[in-house]
Amino acid sequence: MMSQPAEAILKVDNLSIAFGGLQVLMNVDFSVYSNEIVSLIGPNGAGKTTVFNIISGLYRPTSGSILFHSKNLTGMHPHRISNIGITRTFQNIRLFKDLTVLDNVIIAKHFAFCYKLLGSLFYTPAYVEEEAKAEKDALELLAVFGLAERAHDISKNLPYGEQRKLEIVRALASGVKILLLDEPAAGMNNAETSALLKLIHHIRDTFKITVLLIEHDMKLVMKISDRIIVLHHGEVIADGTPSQIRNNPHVVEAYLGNPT
Amino acid sequence: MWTYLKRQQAYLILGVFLVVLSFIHTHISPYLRQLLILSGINIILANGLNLISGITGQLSLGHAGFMAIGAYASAYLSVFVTGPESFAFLLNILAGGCLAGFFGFILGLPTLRLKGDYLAIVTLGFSEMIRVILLNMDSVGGARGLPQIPHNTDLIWTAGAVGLSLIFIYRMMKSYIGRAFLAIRENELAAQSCGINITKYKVISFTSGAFLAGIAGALFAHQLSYINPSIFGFIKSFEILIMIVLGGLGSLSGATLAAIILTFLPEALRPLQQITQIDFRMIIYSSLLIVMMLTRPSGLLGKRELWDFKIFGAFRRS
Repeated sequence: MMSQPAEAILKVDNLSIAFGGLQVLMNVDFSVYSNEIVSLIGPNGAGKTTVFNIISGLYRPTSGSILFHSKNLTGMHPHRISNIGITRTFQNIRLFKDLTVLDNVIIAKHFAFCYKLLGSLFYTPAYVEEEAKAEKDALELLAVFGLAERAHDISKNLPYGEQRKLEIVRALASGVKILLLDEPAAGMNNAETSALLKLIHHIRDTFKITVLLIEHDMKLVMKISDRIIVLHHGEVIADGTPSQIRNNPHVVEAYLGNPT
Repeated sequence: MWTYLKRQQAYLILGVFLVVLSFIHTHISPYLRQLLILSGINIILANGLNLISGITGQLSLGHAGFMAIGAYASAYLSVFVTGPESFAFLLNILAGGCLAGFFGFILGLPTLRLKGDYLAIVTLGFSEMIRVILLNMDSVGGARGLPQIPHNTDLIWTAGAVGLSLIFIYRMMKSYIGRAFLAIRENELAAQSCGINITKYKVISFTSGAFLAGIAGALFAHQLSYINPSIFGFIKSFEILIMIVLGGLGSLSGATLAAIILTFLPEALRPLQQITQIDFRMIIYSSLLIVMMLTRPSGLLGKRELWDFKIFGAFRRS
């Protein structure tokens, strides 16, 4: 592994999980550093999405732990993990389909509201102020991503690419520090993929966040990643820069099979 | 946001409404008055269930159980503890609502982790359990029922309760709490990843819905003056469910509209029964529902509200 100056923002420590007799992850061990873009790749069934599901709190690992700024996240509820600053997108887009684009973003600002139920019943100044601020912030965020004019459309009516984008905007609205993207380029054509590449770089630089992504599109992965982690049969087989990974014999073997 | 002028208008409408209400209260036939009161009670029931099933997306088949708790608790207090004074009546309604809400909380905490069919079965079982317990409770009359409940519920009380319940739900929907309910209905996983504690908000929704059912039950008991456990069977739960399905799951005005229609429809069909000497009412009632589900499967209004439609656009607030 390369030497890193800073302390890891996210540390996956010796993670194992088994579903019944099926050992899906075995002693998975890697770190993500602040402001990095890290890709998690591997053949189908390698356990990539399982890693995401454990980090975001949907599964509890059989052993091992997830550390965020050396705070243990294992066993924490998914909404707590989101509130701490780790938010994910989903492989199959999960928007609030029947709600407007704006509502999708405001819902993600859930943590920002402090007024109580009585506040909304009696229309208190705190209620008015917080609601107005949330709406303004959400609209600003949508404008940054060119979705402002669609703010009042029902989100299921957006084209596919914009739905993916909206899911990312929603994650950003929730005050994310580590963004987990599960196959963001799935179903996109070349032009859309290169737009996505720019978008992810842009997000990382303007919002000062760390990005961990799962992706199958190798061209994208090689261009976008600061570092790549390769998972195969539930184990980390390589961890390094794109050029190191490209020439790693284990990785070639995992993807293409043994040449002999 | 409300401008000063609009607020004035709202007060004006409210004032006119109260005057009209007190006028019709004394000038209409007791039959019509009772129908209006019943539709008011049904509006509260339908909107309470709509909060749970339409807005938060948790299928509950036990609404009549919460209604029974509210009805029996308030009736017991009125008959054996306080007597028929208006102030005592108000407290008894609230007591009935709170007890039903409390049971909703107790039931919701463990069971709202269940999804779909399982939750429906648990709530159905719960309401049957309440009915059977009441059937065997001699202190509230058992199968004989509880007679001589003071006849306190009138049009004004009902209108007040309907107004407050609707405002309560409407305002709740305009807050982050209401948005959390919607998020849970739309996608639980995504709601969690947006930082929403889904169990907490499901319980809040369930408790509020049960509270409203308790209020409606209390009004109902003080309207009929006599209640017995068989009124609150699962047929009652289904009646309420039909109202919100007909009105459009998740639509406040849809549930309200459907509650009124379904209260008046059986009565409007009554002449037909007298002419033909056959009870066609249930046949027409159910065929209407079938036609409805075939032509507009998402209900009268779908997930929209009355003021979302173009014809009513004039009333829309900017």
